[in-house]
Amino acid sequence: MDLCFKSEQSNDEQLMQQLDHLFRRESSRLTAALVRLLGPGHLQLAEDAVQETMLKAMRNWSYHGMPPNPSAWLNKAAKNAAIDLIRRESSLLRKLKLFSDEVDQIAGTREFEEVFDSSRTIEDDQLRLMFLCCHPDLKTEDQTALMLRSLCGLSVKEISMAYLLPETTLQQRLTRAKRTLKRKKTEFSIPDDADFPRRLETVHQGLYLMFNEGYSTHSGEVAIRRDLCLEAIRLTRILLTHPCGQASQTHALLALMLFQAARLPARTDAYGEIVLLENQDRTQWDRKLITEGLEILKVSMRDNSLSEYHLEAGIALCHVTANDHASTNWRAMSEMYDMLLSRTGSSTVALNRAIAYSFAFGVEQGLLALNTIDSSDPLLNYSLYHTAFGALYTRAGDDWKALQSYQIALESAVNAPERRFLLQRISEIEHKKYPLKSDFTQ
Amino acid sequence: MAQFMILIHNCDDTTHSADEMQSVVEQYMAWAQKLGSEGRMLGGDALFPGGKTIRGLGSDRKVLDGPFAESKEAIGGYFLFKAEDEKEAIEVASGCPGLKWGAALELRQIDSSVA
Repeated sequence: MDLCFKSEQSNDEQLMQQLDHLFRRESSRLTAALVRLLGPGHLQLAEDAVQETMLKAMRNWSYHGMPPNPSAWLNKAAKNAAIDLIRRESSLLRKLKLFSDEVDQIAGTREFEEVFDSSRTIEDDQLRLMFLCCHPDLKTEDQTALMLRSLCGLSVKEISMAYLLPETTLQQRLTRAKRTLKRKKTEFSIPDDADFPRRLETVHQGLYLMFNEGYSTHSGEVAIRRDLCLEAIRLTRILLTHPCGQASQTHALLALMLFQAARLPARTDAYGEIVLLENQDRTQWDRKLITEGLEILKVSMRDNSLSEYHLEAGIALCHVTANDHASTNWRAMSEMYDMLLSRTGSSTVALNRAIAYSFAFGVEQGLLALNTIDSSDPLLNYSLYHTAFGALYTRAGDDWKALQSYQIALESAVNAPERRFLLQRISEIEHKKYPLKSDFTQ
Repeated sequence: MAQFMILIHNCDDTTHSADEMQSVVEQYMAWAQKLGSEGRMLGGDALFPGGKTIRGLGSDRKVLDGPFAESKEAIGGYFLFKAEDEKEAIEVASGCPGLKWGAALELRQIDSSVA
């Protein structure tokens, strides 16, 4: 019987810090290690072995408390899980060129030991896994789902909560992606020189999408979305630890994420309601992240390249360095939106550009810019588009058109905070127009 | 003080996410720590799943899987602790985090009587 519960944890906070997403981190580390051992075609098996390992840890640690070195404990458990797996799967035996009676020997081989023990390969493995998850043969939507599952240790349920999609849909995406990796016989490596820039681009894109999925105001549960942002930042940092990932775009991407993340605490109020940029308490913005972002943005400009991430980081910089909404450098921001729009042609960019225009050059210019957007573009967020019209018409003093716009926006609003936000705007306008009526009718 | 044991009959925990698994561990640790600081905790262990039931001797001996057919009914582990009486022991056991995830607790008093 084990009595280690009696040893008192002196500092609860220290314990919590030590435990900060420990299970997720370790899942991610072990998955990467096992994929290296078993090959990318066996990603599902690696995940199964990791799930088995973590369950074992959960059961054991619940009774015994945490071991002094959790990682070492998990390594040992994962090794055993891997050996069991290899025994069960004849295809793995072939891959590892082993006969079943040799299985017991492999636990002692150098390769096997190295996979679990060497701390210097941890980030290397995760980097390889990142390139694997962002393989160009995979659909973009599958790439982020796969990264969240394998690299971030999120469950299918958690991912589905972040995306506001049914679990079965996410499960299908993951299965499809893993099948593709198996069929294409992909390598578990950082791609070679010729292919590298293209592959790095898909990794950037995957990380960018992961961050945005977390950052966007119109989907999913708050806590899990914040995790998506933090995970994207963590992975981008890992990418920067490796010489191959230290491109100026990677730096710009991280700077962008840090600037955006700095504003996260002020974007919702105590009740989880959306707080508009102009009403946000700027003292809540995370100065440490902003300072770090600035340093990294400087590094990103060393080679004079100007990627879309540079432009987006520049736009975010205008926000985080402004003392208040009015003194924001809207003109500089508008210029960057111009460049971004001419490169991407994205309707989301066009939408944000119109809003920047309205502050830089007046509401009329903003409305003109909004009107140039093709509203039939399937990628356009229809609700946000009409919300923007509502906001600009309100500022222009055209309450009737503002009301109409907000009502159209309401019809296609996807989540509750967004709907409440729109209802609030609508009631403000109605209240203004018919103060008596709305006071006396119920 | 008398000694009591709780046998924790598993609940289905296989679908836990990494974060949830961590939360389970943290809550168990916090509970056990509380019992430790109250001077009640005597120890505990997890049990491997599976197990056998053995009956009879010699040629009559039968070794069967079980005793629990369903793994979710099996005993996942036990804790041993001190309490004044059964009433207090029930209160102590009621703090076991496993109850949140649907585990059933079997509370038994250790019979240490001499006479």
